[in-house]
Amino acid sequence: MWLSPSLLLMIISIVTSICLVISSPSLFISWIGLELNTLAFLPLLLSKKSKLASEASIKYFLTQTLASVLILVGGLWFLAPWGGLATLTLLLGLSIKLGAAPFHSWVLSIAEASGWVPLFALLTIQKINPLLMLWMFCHLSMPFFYVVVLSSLIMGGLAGLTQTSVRSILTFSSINHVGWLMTALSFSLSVGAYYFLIYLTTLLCSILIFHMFNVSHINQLPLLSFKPSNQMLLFFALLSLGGLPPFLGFLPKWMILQLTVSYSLLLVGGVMISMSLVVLFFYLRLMFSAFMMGGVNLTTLSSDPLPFSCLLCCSLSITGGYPDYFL
Amino acid sequence: MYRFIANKLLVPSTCVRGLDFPGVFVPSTSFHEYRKSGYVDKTQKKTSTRESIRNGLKELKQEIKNWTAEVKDGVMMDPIMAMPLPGEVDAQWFFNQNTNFDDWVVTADSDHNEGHSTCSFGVSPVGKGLFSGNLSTQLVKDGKVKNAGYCNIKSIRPLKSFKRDSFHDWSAYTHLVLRVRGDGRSYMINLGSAGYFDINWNDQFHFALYTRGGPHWQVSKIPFSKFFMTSKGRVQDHQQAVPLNRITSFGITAADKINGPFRLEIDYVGLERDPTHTEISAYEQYKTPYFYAGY
Repeated sequence: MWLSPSLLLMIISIVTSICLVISSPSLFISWIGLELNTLAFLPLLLSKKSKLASEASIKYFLTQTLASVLILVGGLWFLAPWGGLATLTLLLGLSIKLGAAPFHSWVLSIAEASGWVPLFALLTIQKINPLLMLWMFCHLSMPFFYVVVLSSLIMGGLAGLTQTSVRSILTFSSINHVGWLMTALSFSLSVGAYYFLIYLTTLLCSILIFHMFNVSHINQLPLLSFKPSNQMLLFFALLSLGGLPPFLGFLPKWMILQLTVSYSLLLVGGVMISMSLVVLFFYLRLMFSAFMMGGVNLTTLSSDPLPFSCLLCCSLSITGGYPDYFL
Repeated sequence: MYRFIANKLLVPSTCVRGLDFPGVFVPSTSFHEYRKSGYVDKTQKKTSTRESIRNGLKELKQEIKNWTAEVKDGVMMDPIMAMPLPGEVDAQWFFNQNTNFDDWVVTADSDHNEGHSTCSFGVSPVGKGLFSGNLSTQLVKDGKVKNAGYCNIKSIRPLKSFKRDSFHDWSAYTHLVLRVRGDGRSYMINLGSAGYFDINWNDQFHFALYTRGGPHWQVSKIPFSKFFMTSKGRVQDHQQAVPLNRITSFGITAADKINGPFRLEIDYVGLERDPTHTEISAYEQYKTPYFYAGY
């Protein structure tokens, strides 16, 4: 289905928009890349063909358009003697685009209504362009940027505690990760890119498993008909996403924490550590229900093995791609 | 001027039939200005802004308490305790002497002078819920009504703290279970799934429930996959699964085009999870696969 001509065109357009933003010499060309990205993503959201998907696509279009207007106005104000206000408007627009707290409410409603593949694209690919622009203009010394980072970390952690839908849990976890990503980008592009790639790998692993077994609610896990070995893979994938050592997800968090401490950003570091614990708690709560039944199988276990792509992704996420790690 | 244009030039639709026309001129049958399509409660008094603010401040303390309770419930939520086990029915509504029947909206076509049917919803002699009344397909002679004869009960939309609209989240379940005692007539079970935008405000999912007329109760276990989608009563070509995390209301309609009294006793309405039921939607869509026949 994803190789149909229309969707393939949209996927190519999204990749083109990313290349456009990376190579753009000016803010206006970057804005064009953002617009292309938004418009090309809409058919992917509509691939599910349900009324909720239509609703999600309209909400996505409206919020992204508002953010684009703010970015354009902010860019135009750079030509006027309002440099501070221009940066603030630009940052506001980019925060809305990213779904960073406190401008995150649209992400939840769209995540609930979309399929797993568009959800993965929304939480990862769609963040590339705004993050690239963010790297150019923002730094942790700016008060508004500081507030957005702290809000994302705190809101992503605390609000995820009350969720029962798996999609909502992953969405709030993504909002928390946006805080980490923004902090990483404020240090350097390479640190941000490294964090992003590892986040993409760990999230892909979890989403692949949820997609294969069609898990949408926290209560479905105990009643799932898949083998304990597959459950363990999901458990490790979630722990990796939560940043627990010795999994892959721990490495970028360690790196960023080290940088925050060396730059004396102790408040940010403290919030990051405490919110990581909260995020890990709701991942564990997701999985404990699957293990609490004491091995009692209420349905016939599915003996189908996981596909190779899923296994490869899981091994990357859990071991970091080092096969001799456990030797 | 607007009323003239609306009544004479617009495509006839229920939203402009003899009602105050809004200040927006949009020649479309899919645009809905009002959520209730113009069927307003004329007995409701208009309150001033100052009075609304005063009433709101009185409720502020209770709403803050409700919000605190919601946050506590969310944080302390135990997925094990809330997990539906196969074979167990989680009752959503019990009907007995202690039921607050004000939480149910009872309507009939006679409410807005569009028919002669009457109905009520209360306690039956055996202490269960009783939805009864008289259906009449007799038309009102106003030249506008073409069909008549319905009675309906509907649950009110769940609200969160600060009067925010919420949904029933039934995504963990696969079946709707009703214990009813009917009179042999057929009733329509309605699940409201009102969306955010106006085009989805009137989306509902329906299932026809056939009742036995005998003295024995019947337990109807209806899979959610068997419900079909309508918008403003019109069955949609493109059918889809019930969005179980976005249910706004549950209702029962008596409209089987048979004149006479009807009586439906309801013990409870509940939900059940059957892990062996994997059907998503019972209605085939006849969708051509990609790359098929040169498409």
